[in-house]
Amino acid sequence: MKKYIILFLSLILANNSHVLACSWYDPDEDYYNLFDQNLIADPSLSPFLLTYYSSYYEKPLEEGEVREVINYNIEEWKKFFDGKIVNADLNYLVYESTIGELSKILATNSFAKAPSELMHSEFLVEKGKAALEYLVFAKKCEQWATLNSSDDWTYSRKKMDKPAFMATAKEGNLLYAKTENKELKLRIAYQLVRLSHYGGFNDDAIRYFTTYVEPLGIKNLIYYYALEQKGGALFNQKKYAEAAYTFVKVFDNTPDRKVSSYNSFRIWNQLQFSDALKLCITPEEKAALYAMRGYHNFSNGLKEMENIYSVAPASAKIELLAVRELNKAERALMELGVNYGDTSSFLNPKTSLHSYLIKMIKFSEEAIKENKIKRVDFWKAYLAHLYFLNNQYAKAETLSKSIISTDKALIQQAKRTEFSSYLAGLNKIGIAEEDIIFSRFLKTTSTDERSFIYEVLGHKYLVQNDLAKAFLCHNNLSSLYANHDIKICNALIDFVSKKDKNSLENKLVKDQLGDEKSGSIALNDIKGTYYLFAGDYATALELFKKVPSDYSCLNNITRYNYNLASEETLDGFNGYGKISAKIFSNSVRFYFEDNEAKALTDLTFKDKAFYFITDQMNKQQLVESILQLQKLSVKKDEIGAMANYLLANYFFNITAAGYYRNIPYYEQGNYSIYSYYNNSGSDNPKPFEKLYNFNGFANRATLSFGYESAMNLYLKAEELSQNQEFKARSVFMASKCELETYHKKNEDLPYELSYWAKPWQLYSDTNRPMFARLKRYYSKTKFFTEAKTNCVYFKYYLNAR
Amino acid sequence: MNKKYNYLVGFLLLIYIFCACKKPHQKEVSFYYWNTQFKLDSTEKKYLSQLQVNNLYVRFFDIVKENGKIKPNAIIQIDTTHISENIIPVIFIENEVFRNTDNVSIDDLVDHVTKQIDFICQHSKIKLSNEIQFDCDWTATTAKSYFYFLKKYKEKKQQNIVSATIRLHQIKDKSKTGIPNIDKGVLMYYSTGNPLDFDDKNSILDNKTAENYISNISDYPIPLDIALPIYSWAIVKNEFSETKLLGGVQKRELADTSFFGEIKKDFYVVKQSNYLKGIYLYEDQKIKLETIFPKDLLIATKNIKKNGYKHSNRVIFYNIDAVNLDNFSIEDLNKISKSL
Repeated sequence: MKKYIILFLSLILANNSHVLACSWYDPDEDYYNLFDQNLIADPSLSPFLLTYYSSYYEKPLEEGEVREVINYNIEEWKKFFDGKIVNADLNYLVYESTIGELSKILATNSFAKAPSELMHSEFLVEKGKAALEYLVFAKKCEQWATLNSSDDWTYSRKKMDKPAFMATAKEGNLLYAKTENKELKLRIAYQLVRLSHYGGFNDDAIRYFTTYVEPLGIKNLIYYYALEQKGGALFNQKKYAEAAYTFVKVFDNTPDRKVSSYNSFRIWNQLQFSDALKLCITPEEKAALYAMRGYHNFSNGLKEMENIYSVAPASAKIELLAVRELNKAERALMELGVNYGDTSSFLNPKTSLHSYLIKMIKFSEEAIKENKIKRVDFWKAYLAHLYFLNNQYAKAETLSKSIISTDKALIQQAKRTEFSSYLAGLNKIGIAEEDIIFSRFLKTTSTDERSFIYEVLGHKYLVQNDLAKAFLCHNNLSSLYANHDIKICNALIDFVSKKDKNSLENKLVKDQLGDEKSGSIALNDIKGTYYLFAGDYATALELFKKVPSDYSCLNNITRYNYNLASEETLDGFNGYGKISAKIFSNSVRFYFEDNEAKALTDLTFKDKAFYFITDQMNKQQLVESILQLQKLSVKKDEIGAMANYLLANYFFNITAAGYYRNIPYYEQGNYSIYSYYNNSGSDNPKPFEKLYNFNGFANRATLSFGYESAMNLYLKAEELSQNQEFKARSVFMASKCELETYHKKNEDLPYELSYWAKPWQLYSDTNRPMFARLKRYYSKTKFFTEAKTNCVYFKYYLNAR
Repeated sequence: MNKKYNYLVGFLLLIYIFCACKKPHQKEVSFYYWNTQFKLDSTEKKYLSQLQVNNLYVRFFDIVKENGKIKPNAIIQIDTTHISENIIPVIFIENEVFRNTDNVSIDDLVDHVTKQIDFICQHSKIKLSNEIQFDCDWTATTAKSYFYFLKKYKEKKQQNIVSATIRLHQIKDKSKTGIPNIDKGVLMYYSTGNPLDFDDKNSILDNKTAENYISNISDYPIPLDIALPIYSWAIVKNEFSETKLLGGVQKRELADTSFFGEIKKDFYVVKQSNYLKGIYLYEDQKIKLETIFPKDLLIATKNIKKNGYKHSNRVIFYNIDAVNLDNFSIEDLNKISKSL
């Protein structure tokens, strides 16, 4: 009896997935929800609040909160036993006990060996015994009702045939005749209607309802359970209007069968709807019919609100549809992450939505004016929020302020709408405004509201060119790791050193930077890093001198090593220090997952001329080494050649193809930064002044290092050196730069033109002149053989000639 | 003229003579059947018999993943007592089913699928073909699991031929998405766009877009039948710019000008709220109608041939439904299949 299946609806349709691409995301988290849908008057309608995440809404639980689920059937049983048996025992009796246990009590009129849950004297008197007899019968029926519904594969399901049905029904008929208690008679009748319906004996189901259920004259929960089964039978008989009306009644009269009756409700055309409407007797039934049509996510809820208003203006169902429509508007207007589009739609309704909002506003204004609706305060709060969404901020504020109610949730809502309108309507954020905003932060408990405040505040700050505060509304300094934006760095440095910050400013510093001192160290590092990779080593050095030599900003991370098949801890680059001297090394071929020793084998940097390169460096030491190498690189001898070569290695290693490509981006490992290089917009991101705000700033990776500097330095090294092996290696390394430049230039080609389809392009004469050079001048060197062995493209190149 | 060139001309001539002597390749026409309840009406039966359809691809059930559980959905109910065609079961599997799914679960799935197909066949007393087809829009990340599923199913040797649908992107990006180890594939030459975009392109089949995907079709290492679309649908857009698909809508259903007004070719507005395909549409909602006509499919077959498609035996139309057959006469379908 616990598990029901909806057999009467063969409505499951083969979906369109065969011809559609699909994706998965949680659409309910993608917007700021500022209007509480749970403000509706009738909580039993709450499954029908708007959600796109699942079929029916469930109020999100606060931490530690447990969802209270009322089992209305058990409540009925409790009443039946005059409240003398606790829920847990009733639960055992109804759902867990076996036919054997119950039959034994009935046969022996005692509790010998009975489970303790069943030891209630009520079961030994006549009324209780009749209940047990009913439950024995119900448990026999259960197998047909659940039909192994826990198993979705139908091949293992049991099917009820006519003889099995007849036998069970006969037993039910006899029990119905014998039982005197009307409530139990109703339950037996319900079992018979359900049994018939699930067996596909629709005429029998309807007959049982007419002859067994109705004459009892009881309209309790079980009556509606039985009615729902009758609806299913009517539906199977294609009496769609009658079935729909039946489900309307169940929907309207049960607290726990609303969802199932809605699931079963189906109207195919206007005629059926009109017929169903004619069958509705009370205004509330008509309201339920409109609400059930309007509940469909695609429906125009406003039209159905108008329909309900015309027949039952005080119906709670209007509120349900109203909050759903408002929630749809919030989703359209306050979507997260919209600031990177061409034009921001945040709080900026499109024409069609704007005209819809105006219609919703008009409806609500009229409803308040005519005063036929039930809760004027609710409607005022609702209307105020509509004004807010429609950019009528002053009106929204005034109306919100006018609401006086004892309903705390409603007042809280009005305050939220009032403040949201105030904030959205501000032209300038000054000290006075910041005080008000700060005090609201202290008052609100809604995380969505806090995020919304930052969303709008960040925007307003950006508009008034308050870059530091705009940035801190959504970011801590790690957002600058992939994009060391100098304008923002400078603004932040000024902001951190600003004296007499107000409460909101202090909050921004505390939340995002920790404290002023650590903030300013981190900023000097980031700014220095900007100059380091911009090639202004002198300025970089000045800034790094302000950073403690043991500073670090990244924690050690663990990652899965596929070669070792185990987790390993990366004790490498920490954001500032622990940069390996191998940043000046190279190899013919490496894999990103190789460890440093395996990946980079060239040890030229160990030459005593480069004594200043230490095994591990911080950024200051790195800059100092680069400066030294630059000095040596002007020499026209072997040292000059090697200095150029080491600088070339450095430049190559920080490109997308280099082993240390993570260092500019403050990443520990070199393959978690893959996404930065796949960011197709990274070459030309939208200027930040044109963004709505800085939400998502961390994803704007703008760094991009070319291969030209490395290539030119390798060729200079070749030119300066007299050592054939060294020259060969330099030319080969130049060929790697050449390949990467080719990749970059051709990355957007369609497949058929790309090197995926035509791999020989990767070692053609046109695209690889350095291969030709290596072959022509250095084929006698040892390195030539090494390159031939370890570089597949080079091998192909040679084989093709 | 050099010697090499002479040989080439001679060789090409030989090929030409060889080809010219051969009878035109006779393509077998087939259909997909995609409804939950299997019942053929008289029009559908007429098409099947006059097009000499011997094999019908019937969707038996879908396999979906809900809250992490792999389960069947929309299992077919076969009401017809007599079906003269051989039935080839088609199982649609949501790509999600293979995301982060271990091999043990896939072994179980193979077992369930085998038993479920047997069950359906036994209960409906239908003639089974010696082929089965799996339909999954797999991607690079799910390829490994899906291919494992196919391998395991093949090992059961329930049918001689295991085929699978191949989508356009899987042809184009075969180096990324991989090639399943099956006996043959069916190229789904449709679904070129996202219908929910509500733009001017026909999302069912835009011939220009489709052609971009098949330039390397001749390299595809397994034999490919071709599936062509004959379906139509309407896309409705509401006040919040949300869109919804209504399957099987034809132009004539939008012809009543008291209910629908044509804004421009294939775009309509709802003038008066009313039901369409069981969905209540409200005044001012917009509708885009997408239909495929015989001429579109003739361009499609021309493009497929032009790109070096090595034909196999079958052309399968998606999908047989009296509504879809409105736009395609028996002669049209014959002509299209012969043009490939």
